[in-house]
Amino acid sequence: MSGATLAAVRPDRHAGLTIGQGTDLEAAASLGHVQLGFSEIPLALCDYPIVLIKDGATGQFRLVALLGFAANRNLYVLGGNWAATYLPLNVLRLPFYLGAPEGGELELCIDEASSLIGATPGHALFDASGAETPFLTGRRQLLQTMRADAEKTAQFISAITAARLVTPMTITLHHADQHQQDIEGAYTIDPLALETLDDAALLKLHCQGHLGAIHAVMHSLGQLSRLEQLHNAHGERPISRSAVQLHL
Amino acid sequence: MNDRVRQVVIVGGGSAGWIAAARIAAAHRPEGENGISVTLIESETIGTIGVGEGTWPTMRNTLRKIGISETEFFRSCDAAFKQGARFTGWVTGEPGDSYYHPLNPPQAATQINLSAHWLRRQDGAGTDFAHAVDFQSALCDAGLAPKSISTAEFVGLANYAYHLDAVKFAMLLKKHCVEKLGVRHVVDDVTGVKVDDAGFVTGVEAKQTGFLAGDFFVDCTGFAALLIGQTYGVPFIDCGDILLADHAVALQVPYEHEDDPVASQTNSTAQGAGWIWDIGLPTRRGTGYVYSSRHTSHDEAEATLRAYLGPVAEGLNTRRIPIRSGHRQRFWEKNCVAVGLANGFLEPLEASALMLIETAVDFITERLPQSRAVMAPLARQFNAAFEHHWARIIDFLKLHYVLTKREDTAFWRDNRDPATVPDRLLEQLELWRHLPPGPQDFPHQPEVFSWPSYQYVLHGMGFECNLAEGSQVAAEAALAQRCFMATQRQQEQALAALPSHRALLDAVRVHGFQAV
Repeated sequence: MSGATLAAVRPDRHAGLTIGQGTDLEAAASLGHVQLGFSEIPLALCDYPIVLIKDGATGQFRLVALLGFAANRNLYVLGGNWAATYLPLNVLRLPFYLGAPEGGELELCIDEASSLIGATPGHALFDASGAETPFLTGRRQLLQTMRADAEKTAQFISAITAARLVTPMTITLHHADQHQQDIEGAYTIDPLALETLDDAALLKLHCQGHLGAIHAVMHSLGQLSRLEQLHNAHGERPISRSAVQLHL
Repeated sequence: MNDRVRQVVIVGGGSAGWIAAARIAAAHRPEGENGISVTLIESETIGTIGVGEGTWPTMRNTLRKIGISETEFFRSCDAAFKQGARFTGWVTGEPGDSYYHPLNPPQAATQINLSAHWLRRQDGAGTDFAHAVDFQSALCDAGLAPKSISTAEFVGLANYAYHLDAVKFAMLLKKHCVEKLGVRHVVDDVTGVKVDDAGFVTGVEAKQTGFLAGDFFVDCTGFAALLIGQTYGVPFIDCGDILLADHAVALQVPYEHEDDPVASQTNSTAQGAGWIWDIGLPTRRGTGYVYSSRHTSHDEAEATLRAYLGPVAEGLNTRRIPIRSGHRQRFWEKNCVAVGLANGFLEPLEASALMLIETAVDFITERLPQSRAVMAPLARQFNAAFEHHWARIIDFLKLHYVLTKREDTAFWRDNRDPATVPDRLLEQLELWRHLPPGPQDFPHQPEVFSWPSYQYVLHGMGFECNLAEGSQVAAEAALAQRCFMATQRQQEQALAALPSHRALLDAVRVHGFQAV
């Protein structure tokens, strides 16, 4: 999605427009990771390694599901399907965004270059009388919910960084052909830092409702095996083993 | 044991006093039978000198150990990144006469000494030493930062130190010491020092507070040297016969435009009777002319500084600072150790003042005497270390002057007079005509200026030597070639990846660095 093709959803502009059903696989196929909201952690845990990465422009942490081992390759898009049980909301909502293409406040926007536009069978955005369809209302609500959840995510990230629980990690891929590749840039929870946290700090994390999510993020690293499996299912340069090293 | 050290008293504030207080208090607990409490007494009426505005990379460790985040440091002290120094006009004074002393060591410095290989390349390639062996000088040329906003705090893609506002830095340290580290802060004028029969200081008399007792004293009273000088009478060793500059005239100037680039190196520009420092903070530039009053008048010196700065300095006041280069004969007597200007002071070339404070305080913190019994051996160790440090720093500062080819003024001619050059430096220069500076030249641990620094200055100043034809050179030629190519590649990558210095300083203000 480029900014130039993002347009605010308007009854006049988008009167006859339909959005194809299903997932925007074309847009999603080039995602190496997708941002998660705090409430998605227990669901995403069942399918994805959940890690923190830094925003290049601000250096601030983002909570993401890893979708592959490279920046622009989504291994979960396989054979025309999304090979997982849980679809992250940031993919589900495509091609809708919150944006301000005309300046001013954030509002509901659509990526007019999306391959889902005009696809059949599809959902209309507006009915014949120009009123918003239940589909569009649902998407609008979804994006509002995600926005509220993003605040909880920010609180979670701020709590775990303040408690100094976050540590960089290296993912090493051992390819079957003996080639070895180190992937940097992802961060996780340092279990030793968690275990040595003082009582007051631990209680605080518990009262804030962050403790479960902390464990979920740690345990989600087991899903790297899933990434490995999916990588091999794509059939390019098989991986015999992947390993995670935390920088303690 | 009744002579156990429980009370550490630091006399004097400023950068020295507050760094000492912070390091000692952060590393020692006040509670319990073996607890150490830290008190700092400073006068309201005595100002700080506040011109030490350049640090070494060591400051990153000092801040980390004290527990101040890099983000808080940048925001509180108007700090900027320092990647080295650029010396302009030091060799010939002709246009284009400029070289870098970057903070990165030369490529693969632990594996290969590139001096001779670089000299051999000079026949054709013509890249100066600093650019040929490391990418940092190119970052400085391009006005780029040594890291990006997504790099963790205190970590760099290139080595870095800081430029800072010394007054704000002392304020930040004071606040941190008092609010976070439990340092007791007494604001009062010291009127006397009590010494017992054994010659140990037992406390200081203060105007309002009365008697302030202590077991171990850190003298941070600046040029006054209240304990080490006035109480113990340890003589001051003047080295004005080696380092000729004896004054500085300082002036802070605003940027012309708010978004003007911020230099990430100290610019040091030679003049007729000394040199001008120019240090970029995000908010202003700090500048000053370090000069010899035997070679120029105070008025001429101010005019020289104003001519360098141009219209931006109009209507702004200068401040004159006397420089008496030298140090105490000893630095630790009985239960009293001098840190900062009370320990010694040299002209600010190569920014050694804050680094020497850190070096002294590292020793004191890590080897804090537990009782009187261990004072004497610790004093001997400390005194030997600092005697060494001062001699080596004086050598290294003198190196910048002795290699000049300038003939235009008496200041530069006098600086080359062998009578003004320490014997050891003369001997080393003779050796370096045949062998490049190497670790064997600097066996002391820790060594403040080591052989890479000498390489940068010697080759930057076109020191004539005969290294290129050795038999070792041919044997290592392939590795050297790889090093030069690796530098080139790193330079291309760094130039593409790193933000401008100003942009990163803005981002730090808004977003801050992560701890990891």
